[in-house]
Amino acid sequence: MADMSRRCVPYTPVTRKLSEMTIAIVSTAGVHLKDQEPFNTQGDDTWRVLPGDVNMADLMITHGAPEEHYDRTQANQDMNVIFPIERLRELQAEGFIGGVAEKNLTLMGYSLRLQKYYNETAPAVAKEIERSPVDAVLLTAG
Amino acid sequence: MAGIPTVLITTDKDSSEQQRPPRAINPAGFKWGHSLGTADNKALQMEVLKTALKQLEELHMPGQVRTLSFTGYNA
Repeated sequence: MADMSRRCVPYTPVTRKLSEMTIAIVSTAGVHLKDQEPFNTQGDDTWRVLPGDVNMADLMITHGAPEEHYDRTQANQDMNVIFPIERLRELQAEGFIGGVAEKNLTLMGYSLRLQKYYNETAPAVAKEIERSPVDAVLLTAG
Repeated sequence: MAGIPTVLITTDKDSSEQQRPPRAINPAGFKWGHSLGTADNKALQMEVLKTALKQLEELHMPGQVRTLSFTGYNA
């Protein structure tokens, strides 16, 4: 962790108006489709791709963090609490943002291999996002 | 242009600040797991989300997490 904090802040400037930007969600809250392979609660650095038009009823959470560190009761009733894809779609409808990404990425955010997470997983997630037409990313955790 | 702009909503300000995110907000008093508030509180979720997204257009001090107060959070 200390090694990460010594690095410079990875700041990418914004060149478009919010109303013209397509937004993707990248979340470490452990959300995935019910028919996707669940995350390994012992530690997992894989990710799942969720479509922008996903049906909220098809989502569930698998996460290794104890409830006192990550309270899932609210999100299990309404996934927008940690994966606000419906709210983003509404913001697109009212013109506040330009669009919602076709691909949104989720991870569990709990891995014992932090160096691998930092050196391999995060860059791979960024590459996956950059391959799609996305202007900015909203990050949420658990 | 290399990279892609990001904005983070965090309920763990201390941990997030160690990573020095380029743009981040911390809704004051929100519990872990309640990033946008509580279930079915659409108005609060929308307020948090809009506030986060507006960070993309505002001048920001990269590496700092902004703690902001929102009304309507009861958990």
